[in-house]
Amino acid sequence: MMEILNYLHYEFVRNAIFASILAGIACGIVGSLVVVKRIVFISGGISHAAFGGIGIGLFFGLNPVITAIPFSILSAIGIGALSKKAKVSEDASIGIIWAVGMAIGIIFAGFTPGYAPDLISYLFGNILMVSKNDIIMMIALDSLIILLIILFYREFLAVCFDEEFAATVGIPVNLFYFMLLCGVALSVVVLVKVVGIILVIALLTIPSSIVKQFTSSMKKLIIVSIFVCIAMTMAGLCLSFVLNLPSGATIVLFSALILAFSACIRRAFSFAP
Amino acid sequence: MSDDIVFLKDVFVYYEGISTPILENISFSVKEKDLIAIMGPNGGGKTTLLKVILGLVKPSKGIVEVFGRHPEEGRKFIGYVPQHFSFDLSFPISVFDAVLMGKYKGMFKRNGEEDFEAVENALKIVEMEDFKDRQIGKLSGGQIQRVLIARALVREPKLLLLDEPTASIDPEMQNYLYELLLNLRKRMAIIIVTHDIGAVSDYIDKIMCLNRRIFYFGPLKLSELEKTYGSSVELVNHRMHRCQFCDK
Repeated sequence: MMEILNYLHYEFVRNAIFASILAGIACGIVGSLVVVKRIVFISGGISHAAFGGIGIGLFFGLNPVITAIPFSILSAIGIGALSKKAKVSEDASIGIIWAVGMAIGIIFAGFTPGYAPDLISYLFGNILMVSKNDIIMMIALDSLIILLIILFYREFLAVCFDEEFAATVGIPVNLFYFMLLCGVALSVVVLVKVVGIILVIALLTIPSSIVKQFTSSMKKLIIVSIFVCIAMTMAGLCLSFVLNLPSGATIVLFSALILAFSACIRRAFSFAP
Repeated sequence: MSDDIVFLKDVFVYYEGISTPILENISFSVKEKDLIAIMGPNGGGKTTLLKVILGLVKPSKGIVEVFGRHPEEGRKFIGYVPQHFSFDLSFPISVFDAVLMGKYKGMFKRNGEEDFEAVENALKIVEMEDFKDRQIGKLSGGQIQRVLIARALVREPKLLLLDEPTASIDPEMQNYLYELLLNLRKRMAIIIVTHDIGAVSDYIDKIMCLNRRIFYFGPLKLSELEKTYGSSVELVNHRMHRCQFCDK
């Protein structure tokens, strides 16, 4: 036990812990909305398309996580606009943007001179490489997400629950739908260092799916999901350390196991007298 | 003209890419405290007409005035009870919070005590106040329908729009619903889309037979129903009509 506390002397370990907490906040809030509104597929599209911004960042020698922000917001708006306004079917447009964004990222990353070991860590995450600047950026994005959910909780709840009725009581439904997609775009950027682009969708869906089985209050769903996500991330991280496995994938598999386990518990309780 | 709460003239609605209009040349008006039933075969535009009144669907042609204004402004006086649940039953929201949504007044305008009381009162009217903390999916179809009515009533509307409120509800619930409507019509106009004019046939002011066009709009007459449906309409003992176009 004391050995573990010794690890806290290392900055990279402390950063990994902060990153887990900050990731948990984004996942709990945005992930809950994604799961109840059933926009998981759209969120997958946004998260993969964000890779385009990362490739562009690598090519121009800028911080790829920063360049990912406008690119993933553009993808979010693109998917939202295509599904609400154009004649392309919604799931086709998601698939298109998903793949095109990734392709753009791959091409730009391919043109980047020199080595790109970074590429792997953006695709699959590398929580042990989280820097102080990354932490600051995650804090900024999380603060924005927290501010939005506090200011507009009722509006987001209404738009997720019943868009049609929300429109009849005067809520600008399209505006909040786009804001929700932008929230996904921002969360992707927060999560990229923790689990990587490919697996972001797992952290957005698994923790909330676990908690949703046990509560019928949106507020509780959001708050408990935050803690569950933090716990999963840290537990997965420890496990990856012990078993010498890639951290992002271990976090995801561990969370999936917990989901399966929680589903069994839920079943067991529903048969109880 | 000025005491019309709803006024439509020469309204056409086309859906994207389809050359036949879903609503064609619609002109009619609704007065305060009218109780109007809209009937017609499925696909005839009844739900679309409600959405035009609500401003959720914009007509390609024609004039729509609701309480003398654009539907988007007039909709604050309307309570809407949609046909199908346009929400997911497993959504984590309580009956109370679902009804409270009807009391939305605008961004940054928090709900206060008067709003919570209004929700309680609306739930009492539909006899669902004991269920206020229940998650919305853990109710029977009829109970959910009552909650949706409470959600529409909490706005204290001057016009209530109901889209097939008695579909998939047991007869006992249907009677309860019609009693409720008869009570409510003292305070507001009601437009009800229905296949079952059953108990209200003695009380409705006007019936509209709608199948893309308005075939008839006026006091209830059996012969007019037949023209709309295009074949003979049978009002059986329990007063449900039956014809080849409807699936009842």
